[in-house]
Amino acid sequence: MKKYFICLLFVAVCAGQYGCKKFLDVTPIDKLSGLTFWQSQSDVDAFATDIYAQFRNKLTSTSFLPAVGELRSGFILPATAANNNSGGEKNIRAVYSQFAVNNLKQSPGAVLDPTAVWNTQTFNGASVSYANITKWFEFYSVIQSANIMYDRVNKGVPGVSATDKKRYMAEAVFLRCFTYFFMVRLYGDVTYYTQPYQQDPLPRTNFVTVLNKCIADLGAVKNDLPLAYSDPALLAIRATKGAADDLLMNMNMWNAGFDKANQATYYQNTADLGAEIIASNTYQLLPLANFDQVMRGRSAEGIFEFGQSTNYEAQAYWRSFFGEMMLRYPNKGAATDNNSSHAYFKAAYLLRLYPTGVPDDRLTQWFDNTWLSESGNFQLLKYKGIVPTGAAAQTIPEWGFIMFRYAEAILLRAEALAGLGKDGEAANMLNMVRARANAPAYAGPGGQDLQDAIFNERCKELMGEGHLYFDLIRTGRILDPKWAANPLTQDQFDRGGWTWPIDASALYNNPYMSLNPYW
Amino acid sequence: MLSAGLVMPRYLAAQVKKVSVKGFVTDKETKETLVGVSISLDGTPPRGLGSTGHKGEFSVTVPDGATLLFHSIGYKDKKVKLNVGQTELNVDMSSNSTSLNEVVLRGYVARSKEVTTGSSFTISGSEIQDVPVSNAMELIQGKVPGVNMQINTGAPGYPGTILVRGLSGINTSGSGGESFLTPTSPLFVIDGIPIDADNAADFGFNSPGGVSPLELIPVEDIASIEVLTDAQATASYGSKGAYGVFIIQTRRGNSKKPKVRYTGNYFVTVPPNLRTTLGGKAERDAKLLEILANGTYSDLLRISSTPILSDSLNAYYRNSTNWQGIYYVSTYNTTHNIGIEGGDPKFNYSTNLNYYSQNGIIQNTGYKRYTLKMLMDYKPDDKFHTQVIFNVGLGKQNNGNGQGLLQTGVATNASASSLLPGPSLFQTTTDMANDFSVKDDNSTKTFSASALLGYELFKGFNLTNTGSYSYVTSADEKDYPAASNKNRPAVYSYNDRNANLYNRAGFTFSKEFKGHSFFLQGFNEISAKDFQAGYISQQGTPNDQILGPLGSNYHDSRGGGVLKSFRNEHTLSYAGGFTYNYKRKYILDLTYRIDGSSNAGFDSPFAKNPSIGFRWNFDKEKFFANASGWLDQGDIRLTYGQVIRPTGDIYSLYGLYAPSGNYEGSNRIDIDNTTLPNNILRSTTNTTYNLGVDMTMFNNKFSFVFNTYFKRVTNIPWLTPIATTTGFTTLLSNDASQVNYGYELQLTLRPLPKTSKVQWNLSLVGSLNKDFLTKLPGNKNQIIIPPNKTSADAIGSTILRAGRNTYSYYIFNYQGVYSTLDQVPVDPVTGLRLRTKASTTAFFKAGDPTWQDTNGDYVIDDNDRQAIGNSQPIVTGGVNTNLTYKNFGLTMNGSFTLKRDIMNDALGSRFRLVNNPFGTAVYLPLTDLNYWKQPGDQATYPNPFDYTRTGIINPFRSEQSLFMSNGTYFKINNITFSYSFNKNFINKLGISNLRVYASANNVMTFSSYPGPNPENVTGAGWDVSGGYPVSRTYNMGLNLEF
Repeated sequence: MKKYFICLLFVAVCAGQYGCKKFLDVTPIDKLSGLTFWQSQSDVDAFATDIYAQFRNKLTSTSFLPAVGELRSGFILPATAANNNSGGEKNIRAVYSQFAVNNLKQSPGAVLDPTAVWNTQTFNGASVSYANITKWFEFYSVIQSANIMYDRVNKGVPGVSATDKKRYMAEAVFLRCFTYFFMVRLYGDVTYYTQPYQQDPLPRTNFVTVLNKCIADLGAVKNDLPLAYSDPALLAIRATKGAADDLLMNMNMWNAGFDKANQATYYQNTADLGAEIIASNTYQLLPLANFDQVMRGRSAEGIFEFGQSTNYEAQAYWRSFFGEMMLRYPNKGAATDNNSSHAYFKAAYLLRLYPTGVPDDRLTQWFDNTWLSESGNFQLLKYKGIVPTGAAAQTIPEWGFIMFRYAEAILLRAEALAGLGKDGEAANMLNMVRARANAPAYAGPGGQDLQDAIFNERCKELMGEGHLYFDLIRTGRILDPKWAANPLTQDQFDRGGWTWPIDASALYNNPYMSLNPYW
Repeated sequence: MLSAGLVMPRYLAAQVKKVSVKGFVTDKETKETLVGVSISLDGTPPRGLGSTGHKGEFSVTVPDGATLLFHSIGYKDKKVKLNVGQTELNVDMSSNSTSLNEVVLRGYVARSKEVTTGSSFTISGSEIQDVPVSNAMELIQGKVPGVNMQINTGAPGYPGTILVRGLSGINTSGSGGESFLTPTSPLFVIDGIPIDADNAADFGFNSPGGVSPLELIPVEDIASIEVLTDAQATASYGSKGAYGVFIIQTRRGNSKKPKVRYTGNYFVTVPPNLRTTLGGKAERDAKLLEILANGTYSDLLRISSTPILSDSLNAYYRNSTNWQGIYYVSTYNTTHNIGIEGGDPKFNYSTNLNYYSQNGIIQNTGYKRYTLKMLMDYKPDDKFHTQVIFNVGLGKQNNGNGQGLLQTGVATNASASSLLPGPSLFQTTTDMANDFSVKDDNSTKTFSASALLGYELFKGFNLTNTGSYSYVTSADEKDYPAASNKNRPAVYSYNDRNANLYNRAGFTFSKEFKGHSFFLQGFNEISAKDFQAGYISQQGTPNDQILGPLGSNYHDSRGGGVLKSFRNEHTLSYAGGFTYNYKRKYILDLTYRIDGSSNAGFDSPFAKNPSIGFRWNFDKEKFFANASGWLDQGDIRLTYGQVIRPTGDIYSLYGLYAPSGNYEGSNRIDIDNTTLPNNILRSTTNTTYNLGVDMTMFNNKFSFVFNTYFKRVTNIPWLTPIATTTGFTTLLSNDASQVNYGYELQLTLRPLPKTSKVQWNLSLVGSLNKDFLTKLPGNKNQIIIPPNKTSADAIGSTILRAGRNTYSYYIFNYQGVYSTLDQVPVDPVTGLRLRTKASTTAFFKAGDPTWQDTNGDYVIDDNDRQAIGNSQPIVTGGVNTNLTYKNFGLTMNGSFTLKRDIMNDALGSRFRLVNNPFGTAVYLPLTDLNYWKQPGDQATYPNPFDYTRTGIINPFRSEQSLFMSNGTYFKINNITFSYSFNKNFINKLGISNLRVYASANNVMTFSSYPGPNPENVTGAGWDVSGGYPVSRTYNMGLNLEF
């Protein structure tokens, strides 16, 4: 019997080893896999940080924000004179006049002409062609990353508290929604998904629907986000409840312009969200004298920004900053090669914003006496910062990419209130911003006049921050020669003349995909 | 024993003293123990006493001094008279050359083949000796049904390709003429230890590093090779056995008196026939004539500014150099092998020392091998068994300037113009210097040790444990002298280490009662593998002689560091087997194995491989009882098995994460966006059904083995590009699948009676395999594998199209030559003649090729290519014959491949050489080819001499069916003629055995193929001139035994 016992014991030992999965648990020392990653809070933090940085890298892959938010308005033209234009710079900046007439693709020499000198530039070995704006890949990398982060955090990461878990998941939703919002404004309909590891190709979804889904998603989780982070380094850099509110306001206002049937709801939502931001007492309007802090980022006025600083990394592609084209020596570069700006705002437009005789500190602090020169003498001193003396032309002050800030939120709320007919409240909002600039309070009539005043105020306050062109589109003013330098016809607008062309690579391996018909 | 006692007459039992006799029965040649040998007491009729156990052991109680009769099918009966008082007996039985009842290894345990169901074939070591080759596997070509072996490179120390039962994948590595089918190499089990034979595959087939462990096994030391082909047979080897299993056993000692064996070979390798070239003035005249006939006015003027054409008095240009002769040479080589072995089944040992050296037929290439093996086997009693093996080996491969399989540089340089002077001190070109003076020292050193311990706990129940450790390190040092590297001596130094710790523990249990036998087996295997490779590449060393020190220097460094192939893998497997048979007539075989790998991830680390098999030995049925006149043995086998091989690794499953700098002072960690993690990645599954029939008839005069199988491979991985909206570029998908089916036949004839002085046997092996692509990833209809467009010749254009054979060529359909201008079609819409896309003025004319305009747009461009042909052979096999008369022996072995389409780019390049008369390439005569000369000619080939058409039409582009040829061939692999000296004579000299032989390898190839060699082509079917030609070997050899 003993031998049978030994035999059984042996079999049992053999079978017992089946549970010996630990033997298969080899931690590769050369690479991190999805198995060995996601093991601590710092892993999640590092991954989240990377998503922001990925988005930021897209913005610095070409003159992204100036191109999409400002130049297409047509109020900005290249300055052709003076010595800053040595080294072919003049030819590169000539593209601004193509933006001004919405010539993105139609004829040779257009913005996206691959042979044009502005599209053959490289920075750190990478192409900084405007074609980068038309490529979807990086945006969807951000979306996949956000979805993967949501999924992995949801499955549980050791060492992450329940509160933090919800916060990280909300942050992932914020990043995804922000990206969709950003893309919708550029391309109209986009492919929408929230699944992690999405591998099947999908068709495009109507952009109003996309934003409504985003509004619902983000609205459900925004309260999981903190009002502010204890670490001052994260101020306005990582998603907060305020940032989510502001993004929701922007998405509502965008849909309000296109989904006219539900306009009132969108306005009401925006007004409510704006009220939340104000009531949170988290943000303040800084004095105009300290405005360089706002543009540098991480200020008390910032709600959401992408950071960029030579203190942490090398200087990003300098032409990706709007401020760079509107400054000259002594605010940028050396006198010998940089004593004129690359572009200027049209004088007529500036006069519309700053009517003669109306005091406004912004006029005196953000412009000098050459403000109507329509030449390389023009400067937008809003972007003035500290630049080392005698620095090279590419050395520029430190700026962040300011996406949302308090003044912007206030004006957006004003616009929504005005849309709802609540003229008094709307004027109050408007005057909050005007008061900071010591401009007289708005005293005009309500209705359309008030709405126009709010629009003008946005143009003035947010000048150069990448809102102008989108404001023109969503308010429909792009159709109106009174408001737009290069108005679109209704037909052009309906066919998507306001969108960007989409790179043909989006068609590869995706039978459901179609490009924008206008282009 | 009790029964033996009962059947004995009582009076005998009373008178004779009984003794218990113990011992082992082994095969005389292979020294393998024999299982199931029946033992009976000699007499009329003989009385059964029992049979040998699974280790070949027996124990019987018989009258003292009795005569025992040993009988086993497949062996000659043996009678042994016991001496009085003898209680131990070891018997060796000689085979009567039938394969039907040999011992086979299944799941590392010796079993009688009669009671196994899977399909397998055994080759004994003696069948493959007498021919010196660097890789013993070459010698099984044409001997095993179901194995498609192509010796497609002549590079010494490089293996050919081995495919067991067709293709098992759709991936290729490399591109163009350098594309190889991603190796799906069989598993090699050498003396019970599974070995990774695909050493080279770790780095891509054509990259440095790696003498395969297979090349370190001397042919002389091989006792037997068993090839398992169907999924039932391989099931207990698990995932690694998905592409077949080769079990190699080395020699064991079995002689009371120590034996010393010496084998020496002295051989010459000879390059194949080289191509005929035009030499000296003939070359210049041909070039001038071509220009005069076809050139423009400016070309005529250019002649005078091209000195190689015009300056015939210049000593530099008035040579007739045979460049091929400089590069391709005959070499003289030797091998020596000494084996010392002795002992008996209780204790035996064998030692083998081997030296092999072969200089390649291309200058500056070669292969050398030094190995030492020691084996000890100790079996003091029935219960205990231990065996220890040590192996040490050194393989040195010299690749010269090439990368191993390819010698592209040599091929280009060997086709230099004959007008140029030959190599000399002052006229060495960089290319020449590269080919001749690059010092390449590519060596692999292996050390391995294994130990087996076995113990019989109680009757029928055995425990065994086998452990091994092997350590392999390879180094590839290439030193480029200044002359070969723009005056800057350079060094490339690669090294790797590969350690493998392996252990297997298991039990077997067998039980028999009343005709029912049960066999139960279980074991587990664990292994830990470690691999790391790195290299340094630097130029600007002090001079050609001082090659160091090597250090980091930004300016001179050409890269280096630890390679990405770093790997650390643990595997864990469990296998179980159960066999039941009733009177050895009806057999049921079940196996189940699970494989776990640390690379497969946590969610499903274990792949499960089940198999089932039935066998019916119908010769044992009553109704065949009186068929003994014609039927010796017969059986039918039916098996099903599934082998699962995990695809991808944890990175393709879960994503690869890596630090990516920082953002606003915080660390970033990024997921790699090149490959989308595929959580639903399934394992590649090979499912095989096999039906086999074995019969031996007419007293072993005729026997055959027939198998037919259906193999389905599903979930084949493929790196698919995916939509940009996924944010990732590629996905390792695995929804491709493939089907193979085929028939295999082995016929053996021994027509002469056993008593005849002349013994002759003949065996014919053939297998037919068809493969089909049934599904491609993403339900695509086709995937185009683009040719290597960096070479102008577009070699390697291949297409995978669902519903067709796996690899088709994607080429232009060539339909002839436009005899006259009128034959060129004219687009009725535009009125323009057919043209190529390259230029709007590129119109076809007389003498140009007719390519089918598939899409009917009157423009011949890439869209007109079609899927044509099949690069894989349909039928492969061989013929083996062995003739002996007295002391003379004659062995011949041939192999064939039928129905294979080959792209003959060797011919293409021959035509293309003449399209640049101003260049410095050699001209080959084209007079044997029917090409177009003048309008009205009905020619096979377009006009080669109108070199102005090259840029416009490119009439001799590789990717056209003009160069697709039938690759059918029959090759006489080797012929051996031997003579064994008379023992009486040599024994006086103290020699127990002396045999001399002469052999020739790669004797002759019969083929209608117009290119050089239909076998010497890439796995994807392209015959490119950059390959390493296969040499012919003439050998004189000697076997000496003391």
